[in-house]
Amino acid sequence: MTDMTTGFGKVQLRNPIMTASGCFGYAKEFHGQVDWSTIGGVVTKGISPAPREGNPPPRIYETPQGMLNAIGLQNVGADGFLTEKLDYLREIDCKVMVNIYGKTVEEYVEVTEKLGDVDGVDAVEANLSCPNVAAGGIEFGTTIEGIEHITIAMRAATKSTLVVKLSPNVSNLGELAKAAEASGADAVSLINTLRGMAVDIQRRKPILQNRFGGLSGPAIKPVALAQVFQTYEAVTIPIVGMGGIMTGSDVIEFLMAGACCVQVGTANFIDPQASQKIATQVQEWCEHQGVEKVDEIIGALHSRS
Amino acid sequence: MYNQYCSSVTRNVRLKGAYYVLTLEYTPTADHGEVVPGQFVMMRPRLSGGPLLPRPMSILEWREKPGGKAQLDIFYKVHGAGTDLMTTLTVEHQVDLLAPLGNGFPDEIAGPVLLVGGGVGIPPLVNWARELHQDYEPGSIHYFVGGRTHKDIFFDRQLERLRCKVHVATNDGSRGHHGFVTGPLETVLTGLDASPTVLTCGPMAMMQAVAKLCETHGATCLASLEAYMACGFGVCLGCVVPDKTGDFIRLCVDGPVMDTSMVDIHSEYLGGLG
Repeated sequence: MTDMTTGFGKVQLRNPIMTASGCFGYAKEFHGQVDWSTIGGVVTKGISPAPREGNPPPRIYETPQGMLNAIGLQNVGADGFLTEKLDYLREIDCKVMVNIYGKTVEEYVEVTEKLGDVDGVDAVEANLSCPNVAAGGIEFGTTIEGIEHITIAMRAATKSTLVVKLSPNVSNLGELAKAAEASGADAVSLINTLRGMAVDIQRRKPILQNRFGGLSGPAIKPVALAQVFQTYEAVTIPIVGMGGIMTGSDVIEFLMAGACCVQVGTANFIDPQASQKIATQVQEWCEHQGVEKVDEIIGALHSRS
Repeated sequence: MYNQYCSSVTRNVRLKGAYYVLTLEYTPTADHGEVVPGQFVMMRPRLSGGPLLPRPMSILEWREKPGGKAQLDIFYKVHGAGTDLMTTLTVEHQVDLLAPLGNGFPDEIAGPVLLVGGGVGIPPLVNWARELHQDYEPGSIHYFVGGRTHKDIFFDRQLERLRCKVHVATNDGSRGHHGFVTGPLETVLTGLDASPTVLTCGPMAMMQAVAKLCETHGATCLASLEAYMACGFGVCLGCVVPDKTGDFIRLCVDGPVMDTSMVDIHSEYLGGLG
């Protein structure tokens, strides 16, 4: 039996499979579908200080081997999360990471203070990379100063494990990851969606009401792998990898590229049991390959000892 | 309770023109429950080169079969790459299903009931009539069916046999009323003494016109709406429509059947689907 345990910061995961923010609601939506004891953890929808209605529809569109979304961080807000969503998350037998979004540094701090250290939350993930909102998020995530500001402020606001989620829509991801590391992040997660667009040629209009959306799904996996690989060379903190993971072998690729664990996103829409099935596939591959500890394959593509 | 099933193709037959019926068979779990007319499924054929995401499909008929199995009929029209690929499905193929999903039409609807459908929007209405016609006086269910030509009209004779009053309309006048289906609907709405309930499904422009007529005549209008949808069970938040207060509600779990007095059916954000 392969030892599948892994983790980042203070978070110990039973296996490297988590679910990605925005693709898993608040976990309760998957009640009865996923056996929580089979996956490492879940990541909630991005939470802002106040509830958000999100963008007007159409919000999603399928593209070759992928999908565009411009949901616009529709969520229940920090207080709604505490009153409506946290009880269920406390009950589930896996780790819980809360994704946090704000329009200003103060808003990130406000949500972090409210949610970071409550019972039932094991880690917070700073969303500095959503391409679908007008202010905040990616605005901070594309500059070193922005990442430093948010990371330092959130670090001071919670004792919880802090993960900074990075955007691929930049030219200097390694530098940005280093900035997060230097500012106190326990880990970085990548990649968020790639900014994209689809056009309705009959109407001569963008298909998404928001014009742009974030591209996810298998189409972005090669980009994500390269970004994880490069980031591994740039930082020493753990990397949470994601982007188009559909199968167990996809996970192995991310681990070899340098991720200590992964998040499954779009696959949850196609099959609500995807995360659980993928976890089983990873376990089976490791056992078939005679891997004793999953650590052995993390960063296997690199010469770093 | 919805669940993921691997179904097998039992039949995939062309009715006429670009219209087909696909029959899928699967073994429901104990918590599956009855399927309510108006509910839907997410389906994804296991075909190489097929779409990444499953597609929402309405249910023409759902029936239990011997041996703990169930069958599901899906009425579809070829209008793009995805539905074109569906025509290649044979008994050799398997289709991933997430079923049953959505709210469906209410259990008890006071008559008279006016079913107003167009194009590929007719399955939930036909399903409703087949399941519930016996609860109604003969002639108190009306079936208004519209299409571009006579080749787009389906299930009119079947519903006539179920003692529904059938009203056909075609844009080119090749059958029934020459014009939109709202023409005969308005005539019937004007002539009715009792306040009817209208169930509608079809192109957004048709449903918007039907909802408007219902407002004018004080009739309840329940529309089965459509939107781009990635998951079908409330997670992706892709399929929202604005309600009357401007809040966004999810079609997949709060719908697809919506009372048009609750949802802003005339919103500029609806009707984006071709």
